[in-house]
Amino acid sequence: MKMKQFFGCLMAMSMLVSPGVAQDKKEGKKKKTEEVTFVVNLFCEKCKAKIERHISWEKGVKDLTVDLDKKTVTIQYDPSKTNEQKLKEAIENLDYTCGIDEEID
Amino acid sequence: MKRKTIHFYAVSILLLLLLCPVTATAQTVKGRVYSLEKGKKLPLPGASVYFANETGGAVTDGRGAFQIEKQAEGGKYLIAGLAGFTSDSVWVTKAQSNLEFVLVEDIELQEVVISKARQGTVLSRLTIGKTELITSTGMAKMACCNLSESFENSATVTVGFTDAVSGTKQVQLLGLPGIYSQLLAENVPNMRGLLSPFGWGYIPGSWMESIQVSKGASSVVNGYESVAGQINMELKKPNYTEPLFINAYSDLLGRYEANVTSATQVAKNLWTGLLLHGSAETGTHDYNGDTFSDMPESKLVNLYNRWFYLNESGIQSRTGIRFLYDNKEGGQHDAHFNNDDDHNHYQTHLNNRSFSVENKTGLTVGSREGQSLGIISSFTSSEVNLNYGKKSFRGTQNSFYGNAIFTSGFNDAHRYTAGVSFVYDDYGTDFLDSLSFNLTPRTPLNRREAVSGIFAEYTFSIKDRLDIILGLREDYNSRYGWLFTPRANLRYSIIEELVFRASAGKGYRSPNVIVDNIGLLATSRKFNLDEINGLNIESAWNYGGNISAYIPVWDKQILTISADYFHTQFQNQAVIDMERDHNSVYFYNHAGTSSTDVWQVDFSLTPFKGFDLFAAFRYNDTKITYSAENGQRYVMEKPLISRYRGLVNLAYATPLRKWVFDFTAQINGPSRIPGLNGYDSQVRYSEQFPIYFAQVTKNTKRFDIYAGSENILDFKQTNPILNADNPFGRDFDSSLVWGPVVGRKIYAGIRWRIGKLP
Repeated sequence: MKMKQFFGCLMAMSMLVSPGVAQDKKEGKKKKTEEVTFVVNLFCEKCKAKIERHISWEKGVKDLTVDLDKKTVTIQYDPSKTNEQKLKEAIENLDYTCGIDEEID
Repeated sequence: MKRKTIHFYAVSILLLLLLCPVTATAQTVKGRVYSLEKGKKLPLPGASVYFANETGGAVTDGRGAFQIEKQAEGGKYLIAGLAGFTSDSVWVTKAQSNLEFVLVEDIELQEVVISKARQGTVLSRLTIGKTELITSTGMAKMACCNLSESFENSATVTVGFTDAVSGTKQVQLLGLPGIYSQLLAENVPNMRGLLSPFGWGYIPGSWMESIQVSKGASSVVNGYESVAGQINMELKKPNYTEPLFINAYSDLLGRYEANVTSATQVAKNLWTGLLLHGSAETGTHDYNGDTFSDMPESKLVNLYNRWFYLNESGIQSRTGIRFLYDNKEGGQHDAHFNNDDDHNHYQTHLNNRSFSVENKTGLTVGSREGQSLGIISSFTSSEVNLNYGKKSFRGTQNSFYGNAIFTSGFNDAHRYTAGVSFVYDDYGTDFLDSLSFNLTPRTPLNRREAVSGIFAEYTFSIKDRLDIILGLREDYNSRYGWLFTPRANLRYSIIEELVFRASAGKGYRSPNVIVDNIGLLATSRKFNLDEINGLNIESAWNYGGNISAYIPVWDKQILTISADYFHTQFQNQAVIDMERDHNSVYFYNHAGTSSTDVWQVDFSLTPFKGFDLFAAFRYNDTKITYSAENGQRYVMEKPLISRYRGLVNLAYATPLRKWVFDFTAQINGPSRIPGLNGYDSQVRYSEQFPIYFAQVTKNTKRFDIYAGSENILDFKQTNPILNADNPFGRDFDSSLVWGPVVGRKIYAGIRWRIGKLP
């Protein structure tokens, strides 16, 4: 009895979560975003956390991925609100060196 | 597509290169920049080196080397810096060829490598013992008012009330009460002795950066305590947090809480931080109608002032001063009584205080790389006052802990740590029971222990492949004699995706049976104190193993599956016998077997970016032997230890974690309820019960706002108090608690970061 209720609740919860996810993806496609990858002199978890803590809240930033192994920061942004130069400056303001990843270009 | 920017970049570099040689009066300064990691000097590439107030500068190469031209005449500060490190400067007057900078990271790297900091619970691939890391993201999934509540979505640790009236929570690890786990704050033993049953509630959630739970035998460096495992918390560091942080929390059951943390740099090498916590439970609700408040009214004040000193030669020193005050008043609800019949009015009053000072200093010794000396000392003075109905327990504890640790190695593969320690505990406690049918006069139970120890630990590593740690310690305890503690850990990475771990070792703990089982004070049972002074130190062996597999699945995601088994076998345990007679409790040294076997499986997967799934199941099999007066032995399942726990956590975060949704479902297995008709009572079990948690968090750069609910379906143990209508009668018992006493909790809170973010 209790077990059934438990799994019932789990199912209900997963269903609640999934439509939210689907919707989100759709929205992402509709809006025009651009992507840029910077090579940044990152070498520790703390640097990664610092980038995430600060750059996430820069104007126009839609999503962000930091890859420590490749030392890259990939940013999805809204070109009507920001541009590569501004994002690069934002990273440099955190005392990192920052260049555009040519390989990915 | 980004040609312009590349040009800009290239031109700037060219200009920089061109600028330097044209200055005629230039003097060349050469040198190297190193980083200090765990006492080792490593070349630091990518650091920038520049003169104060001069344009231009240099960046260190792969070997950490730099070369820079000094343009102006006279002395100037040469600065070396890199994000994540504390910058350093040197006064330079002339050309130099071997200048050296040693930069120290803003905070010490934790021993555990956080592999995916954004998942809430991380099963670390690199630690040698089986370690579960709860990150600050994990703690933010729940209301998490304190350390014990941080485990609500962990399968490893169970949290529950000790009794139905006092509001004290206790955790269980590996099927054993929390007192058998060693609690460490930044690797310094914490909340020892009288405070150990309460300590889990005394560490505010917003003071912590992360929690590491290590199951089974652990390092011998921190002493012989730790039978089931070690729980280490990292607290906010004064040199690496926001200048001011404020957290406010409130729930509909009447709890209010405020936490403030601050951090300031007061001098070039000195930082200080203040951690403050104040909370109050104001709701004296009685939703189950048994005339007793479900939660006591309480006030908790917790202050911690930290100092951190760091200099370039590698000396680091942390000092902390802590003060704690806890007051809880519970029992029968005033509303049910007139003022004049106070006599029949059952009340509980808890008043605990503690003051502690600690220092931890580390320095590099000699020229050998990675050689260091660490000295830890701490002093604690605590007072515990428990008045439950007509039972009273008072206690004071003065403790000193000192540990000197020398670390060195022959090379990267062979390293060792050795040291000496000294621990002094002075307990002054007494117990009184004025119930007419028990009449125990105030009985002093005093104890003094001085423990001197030596230890050595040897680590053999083959990088990323194999680690073996062998540790030995020998202590002389003035009360219990010589204690020998061997421990061993092995980590073997068969392939990168498959890690095997094993551990074995011994641990000891000297019991304070009354305070360790504080729930018993909330009963009418007679305490048979005769044997308390004859109790031996508790000792146990622990063996365990773990296999973790990291299986790559679609779209670069990794499915983590981990399975472990741990066995704890007591050689001696202080048995708390509630079975012999339901109106008494007996304390004696155990005979026969006392053991726990714990199996656990964890799964974690991120099916797509932003969505994390975590599921775990744990099964406990416990045994304890009770001895009757006539010597006959009875083997039973340990009481009030839930037989299994299953847990599913679903977390979804929108990009950049602007919104975070968390849902946790727990299923808790039955536990054996102590018999009320002697050893041959029919075995009774509690029911199994599910608990659900949900929380929504909105994060912004400066503010996080969260709201959620715990125990959504409002599950409560029915009749947690036996004979609540006659609390001074023989059969009153509120210690048989196996489930939630308070029901649904709805809460909301805010976190606010002020000043420059780290």
